[in-house]
Amino acid sequence: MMLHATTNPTTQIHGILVGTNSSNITITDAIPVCHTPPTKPILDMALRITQAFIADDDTGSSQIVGWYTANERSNDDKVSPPTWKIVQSIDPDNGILAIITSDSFDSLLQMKCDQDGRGRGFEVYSMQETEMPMACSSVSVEEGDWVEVANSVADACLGDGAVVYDFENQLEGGMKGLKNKSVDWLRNSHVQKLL
Amino acid sequence: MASTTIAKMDLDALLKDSSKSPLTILEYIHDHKLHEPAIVLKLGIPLRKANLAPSQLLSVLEQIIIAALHQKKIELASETLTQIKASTGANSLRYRKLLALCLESAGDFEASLGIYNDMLSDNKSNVYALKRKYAILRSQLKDLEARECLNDYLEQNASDAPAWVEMAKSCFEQGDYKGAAFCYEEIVLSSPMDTGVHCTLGELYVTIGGKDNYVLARKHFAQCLELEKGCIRAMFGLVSATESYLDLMECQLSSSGSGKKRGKDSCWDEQDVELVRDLKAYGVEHLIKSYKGTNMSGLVETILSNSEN
Repeated sequence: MMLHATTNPTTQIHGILVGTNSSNITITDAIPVCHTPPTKPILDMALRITQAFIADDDTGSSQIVGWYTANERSNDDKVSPPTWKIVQSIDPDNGILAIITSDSFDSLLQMKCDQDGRGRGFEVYSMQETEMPMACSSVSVEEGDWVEVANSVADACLGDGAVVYDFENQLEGGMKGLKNKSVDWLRNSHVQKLL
Repeated sequence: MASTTIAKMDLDALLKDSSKSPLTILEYIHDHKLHEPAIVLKLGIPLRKANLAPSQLLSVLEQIIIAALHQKKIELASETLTQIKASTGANSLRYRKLLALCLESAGDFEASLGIYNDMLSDNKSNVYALKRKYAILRSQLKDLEARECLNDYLEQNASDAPAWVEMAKSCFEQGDYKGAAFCYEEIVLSSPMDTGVHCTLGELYVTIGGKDNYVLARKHFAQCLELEKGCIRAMFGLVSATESYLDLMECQLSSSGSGKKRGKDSCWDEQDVELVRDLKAYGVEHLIKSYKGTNMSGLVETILSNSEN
């Protein structure tokens, strides 16, 4: 998510959150979709391709659980009406939205995230709680702690060659771009090496 | 972009040529609209006290102020501005523009807005003031006022395509897709051969929805593919537009309940529906062909084959 934001620092970004939904919602992957306002064809195709991609997954328990976004302007942390509509269409009851917020992202990049997750870079909203973001205590990391995770993400974001490709990048590349295996927006496997 | 690169290469040559005066180099940077604040400050600061013609001195001072603001040297900008004020007076339009820019850099947006509003009350068509006012309002997240300001600008400058793009962006953010489509219709008038504009317009019409809009959408995607045969985005858009059209038709026919088929009494023309099916098949075939040999080939074939069923 953060790499998608640092790759496209002057535009809004959008992507799909993949995970599992049992007693809690666990996010296991973030798939970048676009860096311009999303339209129905792009959204539709990205969701369908992602659905087919995770259906190939060995465990078979993954599903699309929500959406992530970041606004174009700094200090603009409001969730836009189109973004809410997207989350509603994904899951009207349990959909979640992660939005990268300016001050928090700034803290992350300065490695000022604390143990409670303040300064982790993003806020999380659920379809039940659309007015206020979920409390820090409701959002946790599965492995390690917030400081460790946030600092390694900050390192990756500030490092050389830290780019993430989204679905729109692949479309912009045209037919030649499709042959370019590094523009793999579903896997972005080079990101694994950064962390 | 190419001309900027050439201008920059020529600037490097000028800088190495010791026979060229600092004033010549500064004039070159100004005429070619190059962004070189460090060079401007290095060459310009010693010229502040030089014995230049008044118009030349004012140009140099203005360049120094802009460069100083880019380098966040507010004090230097302020001192230079005082020098300009002594020469032109506080009522000069040029001085007021620079003052407003300095105030913006210092974060005093209210004061700078006041100056731009004064300029606009003197002359409603002051393009510079309108643009700066819009930029300030947009950065302050005052979207309604920013949109009104941009609207005022567009009423007087309807041929400014980048301004229409800006308005479309504002509409997108509010979920006003009809407004965004209106803006892109203006843009396509000035850029009819731009595939990106046709693609965006097509996507907007699919997003808005409705039979007539799906028809418009497929026309724009078809035009995009006419201009650029390998445009993957347009192929996806065409499949999406045709699928949406057919889904809407199925939905309306099944909800009418009478089993009324397409034909003379129906609003769904038989020939048009067949055309839509052909267009969809065309899009699907070309997408599968384009993705063949890539690591997404299987996935794309799966989703597009499912859509055909």
